[in-house]
This record gives sequence, structure tokens and C-alpha cells, in this order.
Amino acid sequence: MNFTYSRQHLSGRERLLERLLEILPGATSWSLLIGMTALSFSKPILAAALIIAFNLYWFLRLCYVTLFLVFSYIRLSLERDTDWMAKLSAVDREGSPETPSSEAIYHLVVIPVAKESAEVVEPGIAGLASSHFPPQKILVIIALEQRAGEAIRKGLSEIREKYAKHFFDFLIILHPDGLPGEARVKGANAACAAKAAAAYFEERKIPFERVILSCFDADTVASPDYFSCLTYHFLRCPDRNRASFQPIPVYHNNIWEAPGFARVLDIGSSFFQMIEATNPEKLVTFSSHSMSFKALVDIGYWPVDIISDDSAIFWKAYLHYEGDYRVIPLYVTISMDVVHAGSWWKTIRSVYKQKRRWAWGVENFPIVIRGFLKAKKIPLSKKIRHAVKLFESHVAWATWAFLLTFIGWLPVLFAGREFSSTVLYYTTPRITGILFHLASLSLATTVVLSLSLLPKKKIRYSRLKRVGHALEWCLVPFVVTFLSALPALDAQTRLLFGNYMEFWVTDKKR
Amino acid sequence: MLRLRKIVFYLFVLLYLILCPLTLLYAFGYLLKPGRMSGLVKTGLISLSSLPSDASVYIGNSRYTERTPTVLNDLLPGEYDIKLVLKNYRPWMQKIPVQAEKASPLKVLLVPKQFQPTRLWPGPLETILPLPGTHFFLLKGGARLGDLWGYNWKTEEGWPLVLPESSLYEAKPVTYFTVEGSPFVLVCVRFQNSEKFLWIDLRERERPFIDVTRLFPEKPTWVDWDPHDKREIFSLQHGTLNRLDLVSLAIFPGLVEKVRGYGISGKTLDLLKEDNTLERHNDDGKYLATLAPPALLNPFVESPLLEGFFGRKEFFRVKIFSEDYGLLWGEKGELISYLPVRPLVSSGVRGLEFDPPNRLLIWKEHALGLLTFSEQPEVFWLWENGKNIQQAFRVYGGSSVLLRDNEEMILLERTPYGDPQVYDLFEVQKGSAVFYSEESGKLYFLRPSDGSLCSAEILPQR
Repeated sequence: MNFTYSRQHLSGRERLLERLLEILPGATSWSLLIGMTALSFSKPILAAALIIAFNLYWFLRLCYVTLFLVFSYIRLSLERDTDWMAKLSAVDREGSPETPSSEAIYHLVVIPVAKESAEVVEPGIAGLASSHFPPQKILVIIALEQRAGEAIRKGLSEIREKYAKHFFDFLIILHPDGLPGEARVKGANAACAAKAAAAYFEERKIPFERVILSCFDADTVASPDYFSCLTYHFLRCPDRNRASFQPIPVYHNNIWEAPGFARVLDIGSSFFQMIEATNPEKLVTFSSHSMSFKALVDIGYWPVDIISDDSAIFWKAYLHYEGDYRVIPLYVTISMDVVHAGSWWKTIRSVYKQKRRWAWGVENFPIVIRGFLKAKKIPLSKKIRHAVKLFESHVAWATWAFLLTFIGWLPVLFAGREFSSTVLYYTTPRITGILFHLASLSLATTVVLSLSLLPKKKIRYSRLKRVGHALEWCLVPFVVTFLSALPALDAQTRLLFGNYMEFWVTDKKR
Repeated sequence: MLRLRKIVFYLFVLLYLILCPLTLLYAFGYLLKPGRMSGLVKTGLISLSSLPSDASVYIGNSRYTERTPTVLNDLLPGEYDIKLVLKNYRPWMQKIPVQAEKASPLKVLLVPKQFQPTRLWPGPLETILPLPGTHFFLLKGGARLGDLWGYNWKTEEGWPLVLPESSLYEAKPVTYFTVEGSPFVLVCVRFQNSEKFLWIDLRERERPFIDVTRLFPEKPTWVDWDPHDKREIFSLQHGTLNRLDLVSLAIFPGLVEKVRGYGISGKTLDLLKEDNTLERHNDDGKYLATLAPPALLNPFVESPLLEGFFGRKEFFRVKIFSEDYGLLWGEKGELISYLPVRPLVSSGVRGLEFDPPNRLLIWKEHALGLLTFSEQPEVFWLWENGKNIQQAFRVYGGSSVLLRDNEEMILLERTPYGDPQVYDLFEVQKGSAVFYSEESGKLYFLRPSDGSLCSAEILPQR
């Protein structure tokens, strides 16, 4: 389908539709929050009933996702010791005519860099060099912003000097600033590098169908198994050139150096991806991931004016192939940095900005809906499922924490004489209390899983540190409200008022 | 995994569809009644809290599993005999009605079987002069100014207001003016055949008073000030309202003329003029608004209830409770609300205390009542068996009232479900006032046997 995945250069009607759809998520979130607050004062009985219904819904959903988190964790544990290279050999031995040999597969790894130092980038490159899959089949491209400082350029050149011999090739592609039609976003930088890679492969007569692209954040450290696991799933996937491959992101690179609240939040993000992995039908690419290079070229690379390039690339492909595009979950981890900006206060600001950038993924909603309206071949049920999930997940992200921590208590806290003399006034906090207590079982499960997911080799700290880490989960109400829901609401409000965001590079320190 | 996910998803949807209505029905007080007459029945509950907590709860003769504070859930509509029992405290009993879907909240202050007063200051003392809303009161040990002591009940410290070497040691206090929430007292003393006015700051130990006699060329009818204002006070002399500056000792005379009553709240002065107009002015005397014209107040002159009321030119204290609500309180204990203008009590009101958010505790010689602020303010008499009620205090957030009835201290427990429960506590020194602080939960009184200052814990420390 010919659809421009952008909010720029729209005609009058399209522009109006885009604007209305941009307003919708923020308006819904604010209506929910303001409406429930107003209802708590004007119709406390109705508000209390709605809150009970909502709390029960939240609790059951929490149980539901915890169940799948456990399933996902079990699968991750089971697949941890898989010898993917042996499995690849088995695939090669099968010699199916539809399946190319693993030896014919090339990997392209694009690492966009804007202000990340060599210290942040190097562990990822070293990880690639120690991959079980032959690194000689990996083309590494550092997509470097022209505006990056001299020290960063020098550091990256040194990395290239040091590691180039391990790889098929190691290129540093400079992305010029201010190209027409481009915003200062990561997607524009990555697209520039991918175009250079396409020329590189064409020159060497390497078909794009045999190239798997991985677009990694600068701090991403892939496990040695990653490329063999990825190649295996790529080869096993019948529609391999219409698929993305999503590993489980974990934030272990600097886990013990970062403040507790940042650690809790990022482990939460890992868990979210683990839960999402159990639902491939609705899985959307997130952060560092891989995809068919052919698909990337076919769809015209990453959008160059969208901040949330990781999810936008999925939606762009999904619309381009009119629904014939999927995300295959990989039960293998890639490790990244927990946000860490030095001091607590700076880290809080960085976390807030990072989460706001993630939540800015809501910018995809109006574009996707416009695309759905044009896509005739995508079944209506699929459109509805995806649209509802995209919309609901963003609204829930911005509102649930406020409803649970603040607004849900308003009818009881500010009860008038009439409401305070009802049974409901007494049963509402009781029922909520019971549900919250039961929900703590889910939290306990999360704590256990977070402890068992911690990197074994990097443990430099005592058992006391682990106990401390377990206790950090008590920060969940604060962290979820102020460093997750609030930035999400902020992002939606900006979109609501057409105050578009610019890409902001997260602070990461080692 | 996908199929499993779908199965689990639909199971959870089903679970929600079943649990949500059941939970909501329970939340609203519905209960599934088993047995032959099975079905949904509406219930109510009793919310019980006590001070001290941890009292055993009895419903009829059955002991409830939990202790206070607790909620007795799932009660079928009807009346329940509730009894609270706690060691060393008098048992508390009440018949509580329960209505379907309604909660009957009860906040019970348990009364000790025996009070153990603590002696704070040696006697003999004559009386206590309370300064409500502050950490202080005055102790009066005799007729001289030298017999007057300041007392901080928070730190339990006392100090003389004047030392024996002071020339005013022998002066005799005649009149005291105090304002709720203010640590200042204006005392008029008779000294060497003349009257002096002393402005006492109870927070100040080194120089506890200043002589402000020059601000009062004549004895004032009334003196009032805003408790938050440390500089200015307002006096009424021969129908003229004056503003007095305590720092420069300057008089700003004739702020408003022909005034027969006034009250101040912040920067607002509400005045009853001699022509029966009720006006609002700012603290510079500038007219702001007419709250009630004479036509509104004049009819009361004809009223048998207030016959001759406005003809007597008596002084009225104006109590401002909010921008929209105030009271005129006459010398003979008449109480008239404004706005709306409405006579409430014809005579005999001895005292009043604000009972947030919208009520006022008032008392007369034999009765204690509640005045509710509303568009139709009215007085409801809680208890009319007093002998000679002198003072009353809200206790435990207003759920109980402590009374000084002659020399008897009485605790009256208000309940929305019947007559108040009345407890005789103990006797205090005849003719002496008492002071109660909700903050400390203690009553400060003079012991009849030796006139010493004692405290008794009314509200156990939470």
C-alpha cells in the first residue's frame, strides 16, 4: 500500500483527521482523570462504584499479565541454554529449498550515535565480536550524527580500529544535520546509515533477502547467542522478509550503579516486553530489535520525522504490506543501560524525559488510524484489535496510576455527609484494600523474577544489596505514578495541543 | 502460547463478568442469604471507633470477634444493642438502628471509672482565666495584680505577671478582655484611685505587659481585636469605634460613629449601628456594604420575643464566622443570626463555641444546644437538665461535650441515635473556671480541697 508514514505534508482533510486523532488520546486521558475527580465530588456513590469496578478489572488484569510474565520467564529460562548454532546446522542439513543456508545470511547492525561516548558504545561492539554466530558475517555500521563532538568521533574511530578485523566490515556513516524533510530524530540517522548499507550490499551483489538488520541503541549489548538465535528464527520463519524479530531487553549493563527507582522502572520495562512476547499477534517492535533488511528497503526505511522509530518501523511495514507483517518474539536477551545521569535528581529528570519520549509513541496512533482507513486488505477485526490496543495502552499508561493512587480514594476522603452514611463508603476502601493486598502477590512474583533475572557474572555486591533491590519494589507506586504515568500524560498533552517533541538522547553513564 | 493466552483471556473476562456485579452488590450492602428464604437481602453496617481503642464489642449478648475500631458488617436492618467494654473504663451501651445500605457511624469516648488528677501548681488559687485557642491561661490567686500568674499548659510552667518590687503589684484587676486564639490580655486595673490599662503578652516573660492607659481616656464599652493582628485593637466608647495602635500608642478616633456593637475578623469589621443597620467596613473604617438594612432588623422591635430589644441600646457583640455568616450576641444573651437575619434565642445565652464545619455549640443556664448554620439557621437543644451551666467545651472532635455545671464537671456524649449519655465526672473548686484543651486532651481545674491547679486526662493520648 502506498502510504506516507508521516504527519507532514498532509492535505486539508487528512490534516484535520490527523489533528483530531492527535487530540483523541490526550483528551480521553484528561477526560477520564477530570471526569472521575469531578464525579468523586458530585456523585460519590457512582464514582465509588466505578472505582470498585475499575480496581477489580485492574487486579484481574494484573493477575493475567503476571501469569504470562511467569510463562515468559519459564520459556526464557528453558531457551537460555539452547545451542542455537547446533540448531542452525540442523536447519542447514535439512536443505529445504525455501530455506537459505545460514552461511548465506549476513547481518547488518546499525548503531545510531548522537552523543554517547565510546565508553558506552564499546561493550556492545565487543559483544558483537564475541558472537557465536560468525562475526565475519556481520557488517557493523555506526550511524553517527554530524553534530556529535570531536571526542565522540575520535573514540568511535578508535573502536573501529580495534574491532574492524573481527567483522565483515565496520563502517562509520556520518549523518548530515538538517537534511530537508528530516527532523532531529534517531530514525533519520539510522535511515541514512541503512541507505549506505544498501549501496554497500548492492555493490557486493549481496541480495537484501539474505540480510538481517539489527538496529541497536548505542548501549545495547547483545548476548553471544543473539545472532545465532535470530538467524535460526529468521530461517524458520516462512515469511522471513515480512517480519521483525523482538528480543527481550534487559537493563543490566550498569544495573548496580543506577539509582533504585531507575532500576525498578527499567526492570518493569523488561517485564512488560516479556509479557508482550507471549502475544505475538499484537506484538510491536520496541527499542533494539531486528528485521529483514529487504523489508526495510521495501518500505522506504525508517520514518525520518518520527521520534518513536522503534514502533513506527513496525507500523510502517504493517501498513505497507497491508497487515502481512509480524513481529516474532525471541526468547533471548539483549542488555542495555539503566538511565543514569550521575546524581539522583539528574537521573529523575533523565528518566522522566526518557519515559516521555517512549510515551511519545502515541504519535503513531493518528498515523496508524489514517493508514487503517486507507488499507482495504487488512481485515476489519485486525484493524480494530490493533487500534484498540494502541489507544487503550496509551490511555491506560497515562491514567491508571493516577486512578489507583489518588483519584480512587477521593470519594472516601472528601465524602459528604450523605455518602459517608452509606455502606458503600465503608466497603469501597475495604474492597480496594483487599485487592491491593492480593495484588502484592503479583509484586512478590515480580520481585522474585527480577532477582532471578539479575546478571550472575556481574554480581559484585553482597546479599544485602539483593535484599535492598527487593525492597526497591516498594517504590513502585511512586515510580509508576511520577516517572511513568506523568510523563505519558505529559506526552499526550503535548500531542493534544500540537506541541510536537524533539528527540532527546537519554543520559547513560558507566 | 497464543491459544493458551486466548483461553486464559476469556477465562478472566468470564471471571470479571461474574465477580464485578457480585463485588458491587456486596459494596452496596447486598448479601446472598442462604437457607429456605434464600435470596439477595439488603444489609447495613455499624462503624465503631472508641477512645481508647481496643474495647471489646458486644452485639446483644454476643461478643464480636474484633475490637474497636471495627466495622460490624452485613447487619440486617433493625435495632442492635451495642456494648463496649474496656478495663478501667465505664461500660458504654446504646441501641443502634441499622438501615439497609446505610452505615451507622459511632465515635465513642470511653469514660474512666476513676480520674487520677495530676497536681500542676500549688494552691490556694481563686480561679482560672482561660484563653481559648492558645497554650496559656491566667491563674488568679487573689485580688491583686501580683496574685496573677501566667501559665503555659503545654510546658506546664507558670510565672508571675508582676514582681513584688513593681509599683503595680498591689493594683486590683477589674476587667479582662480576651479574644479566642490570641495570647494577649487587656486588663483594666484600679491603681491609686485611677484606672490603668495593661496589655499583657503571655508569650513574653521578661516584660510581660505594657501600660496602654493613654489609649483609653475613658473606660471602653468593649475592646476587640483580630487574634492574628499584633498591632491594632478596636475600642468602643460612647458609640464611637476607635482604632488603637499598640506600637505607637496612637488613637485613631471616630473610625465609625453611632455604633452599638461590632466584631472583627481579619480586615473586616461588621457593625451594628444605632439605627439598627448592619454594615460591613474594612479595618480603616471604610464602608463596604450594608448587610441588613434597618427595615430588616426593626420588625424585631415589635416582636414579643425581642420586645424592647432595640430600644434599650444595649451592646451587642458581633461574631463573624464566615463572610456570609455571623451572629449578634446581646448582653442579655439574645442571639440573632445574620445572614439571614433571624432571631434564634430570646435570652440567656452564656457562651458559644464553634463546632466545625457548620455548627455552633451554645449554652444557657439550664440547657446546652447546637445551632446549625444554614439558610434557615435553627437551634436544637441537646440537653436541658443543667443546674447552672457555666462553661462548655467540645471534646473528641465534638462527639462529646464537657460541661461545668456549678462545680460539677459533666461529660455529655452526643449520639445521633437517641438522648445523649451523661456522665458525672468530678467536682471542681466552687466559683472557679476551668480550661479544656483538645490538643492535650486535658481539663485544667482547681481542686476543691486545696485550690491547687490540677489536670485530668479527658481524652486519652492517641
